[in-house]
Amino acid sequence: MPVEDNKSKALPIVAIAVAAVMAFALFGLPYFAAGVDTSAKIDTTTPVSSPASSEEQVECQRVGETLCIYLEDKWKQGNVGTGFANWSYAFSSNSTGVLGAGLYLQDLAPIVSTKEALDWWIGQCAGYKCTEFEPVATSTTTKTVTLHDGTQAITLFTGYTVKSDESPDTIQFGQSVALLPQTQNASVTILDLTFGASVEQLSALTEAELEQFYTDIDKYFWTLINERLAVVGS
Amino acid sequence: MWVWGGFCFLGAADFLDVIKISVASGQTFGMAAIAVSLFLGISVVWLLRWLDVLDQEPLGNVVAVVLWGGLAAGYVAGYANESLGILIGSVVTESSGWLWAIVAPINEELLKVMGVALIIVACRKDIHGVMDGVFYGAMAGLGFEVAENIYYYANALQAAGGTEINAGIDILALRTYYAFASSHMAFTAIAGAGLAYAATASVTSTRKVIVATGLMLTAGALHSFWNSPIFQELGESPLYILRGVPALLVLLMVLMWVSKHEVALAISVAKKLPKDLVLKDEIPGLVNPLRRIVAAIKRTRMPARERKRQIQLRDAQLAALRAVMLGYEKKIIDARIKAVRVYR
Repeated sequence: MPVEDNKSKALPIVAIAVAAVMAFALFGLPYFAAGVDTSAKIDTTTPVSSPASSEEQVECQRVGETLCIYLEDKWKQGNVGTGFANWSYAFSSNSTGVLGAGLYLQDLAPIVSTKEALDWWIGQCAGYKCTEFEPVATSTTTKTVTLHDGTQAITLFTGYTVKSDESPDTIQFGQSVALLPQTQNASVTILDLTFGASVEQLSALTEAELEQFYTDIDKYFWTLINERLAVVGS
Repeated sequence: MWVWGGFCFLGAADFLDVIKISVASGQTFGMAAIAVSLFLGISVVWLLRWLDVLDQEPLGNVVAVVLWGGLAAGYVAGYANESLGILIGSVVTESSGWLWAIVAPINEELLKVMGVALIIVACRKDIHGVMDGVFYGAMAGLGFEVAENIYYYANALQAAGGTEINAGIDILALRTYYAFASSHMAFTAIAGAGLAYAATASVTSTRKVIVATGLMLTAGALHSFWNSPIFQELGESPLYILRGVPALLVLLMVLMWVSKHEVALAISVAKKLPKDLVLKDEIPGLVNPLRRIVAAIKRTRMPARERKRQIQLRDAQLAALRAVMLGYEKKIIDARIKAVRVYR
């Protein structure tokens, strides 16, 4: 504090008290928090081979009776397109600045044609420079999941779209999912998945076929995440 | 001094990285929003200095408290929130939306208001009434608010890999334009009023503790309401501003209460001046914000010469009150008394 000559007699006591509280907040709380077991405990029994139905996902995404992902009400409001629910949910977040990589189709509903849909999709790939085929667009979001035994874990979803000069006719898009301990100092990758699709082929798809394409990927993604979760826990 | 300097230094070192990320993004809009944030902050300082008419706080004190809020409290709150979140996370889950409505008020209100406590004891002679606590509380909140806005902006940019600025812009715009004055500044101003009351009011110790604790808990409750999931669905709607309404209303009530204390303080000071210098009936018009505005409107209807005399008289009376209250030398007080008599 700048003025030294008009201090109160209580200054030493208050200064010590303030320093003590600040030190406790800075070192004491993290010390106690370090003792809390926040690691994910995953039961490896009964892996499921198919994704949960949409109805179940509204309340809870169950994976092999082991992992329960609570979905937000926003999902119920129909803000995501039918068939893209899992993907859109995985990417959608108000707070993390998700880019809207390959399968982020939340805003696709108003788009009427396959060509427009594809253009929109490609348009997301690198923010502003898709025409130059900038290589990578990445988005990440985290979600706290509650495991069957009541413990919590953080999942990190990373979505990306790749369209490079080396293969300008192909779009690669992928999704990885990792479990993080609460400290986020390390992670266990559950799934790292990349798809490649020809621009030409995608352009030729009808709207319904494109939707089916995404739906298939969606199912595949959830099938794999189930299997990988079982592997992680073994 | 060492406590203040040490924690501000730690915070500054950490905050420098956040600034680098923000600046490195090179986004004009983001920079403009930060500038707007700072502009709003300066505007609030100006407004509060206008309210604190009896003794405008030394600039060094103001800077010290703003830096405490932004650097020391902001830095420590980052660690404290994360740790307390883990500690009580098993009881109140993050998915319930209430975790940060509990964690943040506990840590942040306490950490911010400690800057006010430090300035009150380190610069005791500069603290004359409850209004000073409101002012310094708002300054600590201002520092915290601006730092937090910049932090969120940088964090959103970083989370998006630095390629997508929409999220950063959204969160900064949301916090800057819709909720700037109704969050940290309001909370800590309310808590600061309690501390200054405890330090300056001539009442029993029990009453001091009750008022200071009550206002601190009120600030925490308002912060909790602000962070609660109640308004989450409003998203980026302008209705977002609703979450700050209770804090602003309580702050207004506190300011009305403080104004009474300021009038009482001015009356007690005026008693030390010659009898006809500052009349008791004149004091509300000098100190109370609403009465000052009404008086200013009345003056607009006066002839120019009379209006000028009234303004000069008001300024001279305030100068005389300040001189006595701040313990100026006798010759300065006498000069100001003389000035009042000239304009009267």
